[in-house]
Amino acid sequence: MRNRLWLVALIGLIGACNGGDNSGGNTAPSAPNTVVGLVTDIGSGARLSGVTVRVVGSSRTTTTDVRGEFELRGLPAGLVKLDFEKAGYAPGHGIAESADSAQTVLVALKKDGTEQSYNPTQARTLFQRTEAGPYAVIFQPNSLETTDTSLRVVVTPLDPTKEDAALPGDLVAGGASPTPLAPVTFAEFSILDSQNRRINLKPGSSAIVELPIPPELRSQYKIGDKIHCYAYNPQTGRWEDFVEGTVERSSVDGTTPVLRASIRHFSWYGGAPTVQEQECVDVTVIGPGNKPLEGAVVTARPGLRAVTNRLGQASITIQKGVPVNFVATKTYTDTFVDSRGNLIPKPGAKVIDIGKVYEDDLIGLDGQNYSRRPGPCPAESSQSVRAAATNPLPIPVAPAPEGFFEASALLLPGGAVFVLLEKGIPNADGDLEDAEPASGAQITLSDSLGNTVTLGELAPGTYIASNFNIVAGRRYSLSIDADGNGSIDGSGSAFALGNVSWSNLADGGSYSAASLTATWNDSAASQPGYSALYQVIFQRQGGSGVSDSAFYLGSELSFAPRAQTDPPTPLAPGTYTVMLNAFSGAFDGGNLDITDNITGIGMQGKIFSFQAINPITINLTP
Amino acid sequence: MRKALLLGWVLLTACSGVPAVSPHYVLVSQAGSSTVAVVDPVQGKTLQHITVGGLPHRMVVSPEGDRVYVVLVGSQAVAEVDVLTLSVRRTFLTAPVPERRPDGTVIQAHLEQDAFSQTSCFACHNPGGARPFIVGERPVGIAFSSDFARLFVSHIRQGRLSEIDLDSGQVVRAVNLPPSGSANEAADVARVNARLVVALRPRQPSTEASAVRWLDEHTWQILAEAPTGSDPAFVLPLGEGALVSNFESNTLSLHAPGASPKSFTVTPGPLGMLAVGKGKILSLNYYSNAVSLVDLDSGQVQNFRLELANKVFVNPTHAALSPDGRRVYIVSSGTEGHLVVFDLERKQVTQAIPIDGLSFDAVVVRRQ
Repeated sequence: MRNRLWLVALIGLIGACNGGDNSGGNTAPSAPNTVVGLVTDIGSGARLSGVTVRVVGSSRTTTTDVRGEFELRGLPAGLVKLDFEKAGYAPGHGIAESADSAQTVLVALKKDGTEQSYNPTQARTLFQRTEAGPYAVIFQPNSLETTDTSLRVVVTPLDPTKEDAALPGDLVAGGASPTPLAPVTFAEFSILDSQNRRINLKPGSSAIVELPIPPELRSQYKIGDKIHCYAYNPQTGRWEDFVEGTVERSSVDGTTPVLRASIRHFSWYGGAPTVQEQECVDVTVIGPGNKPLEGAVVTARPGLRAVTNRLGQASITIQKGVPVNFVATKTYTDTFVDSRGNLIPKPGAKVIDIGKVYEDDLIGLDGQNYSRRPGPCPAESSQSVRAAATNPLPIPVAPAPEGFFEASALLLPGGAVFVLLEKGIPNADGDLEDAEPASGAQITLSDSLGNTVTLGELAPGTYIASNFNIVAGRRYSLSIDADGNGSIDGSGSAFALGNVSWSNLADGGSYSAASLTATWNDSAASQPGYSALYQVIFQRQGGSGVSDSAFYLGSELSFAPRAQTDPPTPLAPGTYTVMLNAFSGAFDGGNLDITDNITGIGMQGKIFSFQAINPITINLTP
Repeated sequence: MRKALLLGWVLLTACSGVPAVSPHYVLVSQAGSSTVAVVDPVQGKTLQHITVGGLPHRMVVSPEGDRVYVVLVGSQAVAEVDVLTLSVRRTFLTAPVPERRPDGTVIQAHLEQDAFSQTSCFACHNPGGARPFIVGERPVGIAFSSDFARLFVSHIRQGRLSEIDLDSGQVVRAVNLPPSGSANEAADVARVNARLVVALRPRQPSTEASAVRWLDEHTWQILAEAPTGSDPAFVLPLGEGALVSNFESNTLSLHAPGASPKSFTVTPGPLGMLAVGKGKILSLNYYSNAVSLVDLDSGQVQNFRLELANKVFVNPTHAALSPDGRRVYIVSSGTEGHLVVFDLERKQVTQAIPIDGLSFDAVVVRRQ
């Protein structure tokens, strides 16, 4: 025993001497029949501590630590189903294989929707409004398995085009020939009684649910179309109760296209047709030092799951023609990572390596440069003997960052890119407290032509790309390795604004207030996927602000200025200062809301572009 | 040595869970993968996938046992599978290929690619082909004519009933059935002697009434109509009557012209049904992961969960009877698919064979 301890210490010393080369990647221990996990908030990416983790079908429970992590050892072999519970969040679920080496579960929880009261003796439609439209549940009287008349209903919407990481389990029709399912629209339905117990439908009873089709998918699904719907069964860890739902107009607002279907069990529920057009893509999972990692689990969405071979490669079936999200994990038990990135033996410690590549952020490449073949991948047995892929998609993995990072990236058309990166602890609202500049990050920017630049750190936490000109109207993608350990922690993309200029207004011009419609140009307006918001302000010099000011905020390229009167009237004659500002990226909606469009585990942020046109002075006549 | 071999064979047969009955395969329609699986219950595995077309669902076997007809819900067609070669022999369209969309605009691709000469929409609307993948009138129910020379097919969209001549493979008659109240989808069709029984339902989900309509097989004249439970899914001919599974109201209703329907309550989600003896029916109850053994004479209903070694087999849809009548092959159609072998004497699951997720129907064919 003494010799063994000495040997362990020696291995640790050798590892420490590797100068940051994480060469122990494949030889570090990974305990059998063990599941480790990391639980985060889907909105902010923050690690969640104090989450109760239950093993379905047993009395085993644990709780996530301050880093949002947990570990369960000595599990029976086979599929392990886990439930996750934290106050204020919709129930989460995950699955993993208890096998020869430790497996990882990455679970993202979503903050739950607004509670609504319900007396189950009555028929009632309850709904939760979102930007996509109302998510509704339609109850028949006395259909719930309770005599309690003071129930609370919580509908938690989930848009899989943005939040697919919060969907429980694998969205796969498995069996002999696994087929991916393509998520369309989902929600979680929780009904709680006055004792806070979860209530469900009586056996044989049903309810009707309506889930909005996300705006991004509305061109694919028309009114009257049928979409396959499923309920997640936490007991089996599978999506079940496959029935057809129909795309119809919402019964709540009469306009929103919704997926309307019958539901027999309240849980996660949604629509996901089987993927008919599949491709097989080759990936390679690499650790620090570009070393291929064997035994890493790679999950694709929409797609299947695969484990890397001795070359660190795997072939994964994905949906063809849509951006796919790849997530790779590799876990070491009784190991920690030192400050130089080395894996060091340490009983009780663990390392969760994570890597994410979102094809949506591979702009200019669109994943097409990587090895892929039509149709599903061959069966696993034939994969293990296949030749090395010539050009696999690389997925770098490394431990997810400690703490929490927030990035703000500004694309200046015709100029540079600036990124401010901070590290801190998110509060309940998701804002960082005690934020400090984050040094040592590796940040790269790519454009839609495939040009890539690594940003330099100008000052602590401030990064800039020198000798790299941001071209107006071009799309850029930012990848951030916040802690500089080789794994991308967050990514996002945005268009640099086009050249915006007045079309029919000129400095010193004179115009009729009654007939004026201001118009402007944006050189990028016709680009596919381009979306900009324009802010226009008319303000009379020395004016009062009611009859002599007008505002516009929207995505149109014209505006008829009217006074802030009721009803609106032409602006009062006089000399006006007219301002035109343009925004793209993280800005959204009629109130210039700023939403996070850089996402990842342990980080969030915004990438945006802004352009202020020089104000002009004009004269308005009656 | 011979004794040892014989003993080995006996042991092997005993352990396989399947007795020495006439050699047979089970064909399973696999909606998720556009295929029919050829399953060998002795080996306990799928031997072959036959690509048939979009969303294969219901299947019927010809009286000679040499053909299987597979309804392609997503490709507006029926595939004829040759049992000897285990391959698709022909496909038949169940409704004409449209020239125009519902809004009146011409479907240019149909004209340019001469879609009207195809015998299945799958020829063009297949993985990697034209979009969308799922097209057409959504044929679902299927039944043979009295002389077995024609097929009757019911369609969900438009509530259409069509008749296909098996010699020519052509649709020789098609009618949009008048709705019964708001019930305008022809969910299934069966033949009872010289009468057709059509289950009509409103667009789902719905709490509106559904109906069972009796038609003259030859003239399609309406003979009778009666209300049935919510969301009728399957019609099983039984003597002079027809048994209908009512998916949403958890009942089986026995219909006969001129008589009030008789109802049997089973566990939630009855879908497929199988006659397993005189007056005995096995109901496949989708939502309750169970089967119900119903004695139509006594009204007795016994329910059995589909589980083996603590594993539950979810969402049973349809089933087929083994040639010796002792076992039922049940399709468990969750996202993790299984063909579950249910022993009728022991009334329990004895074997589970992996198949594709989201499979639907099963038929037994002779092993050639």
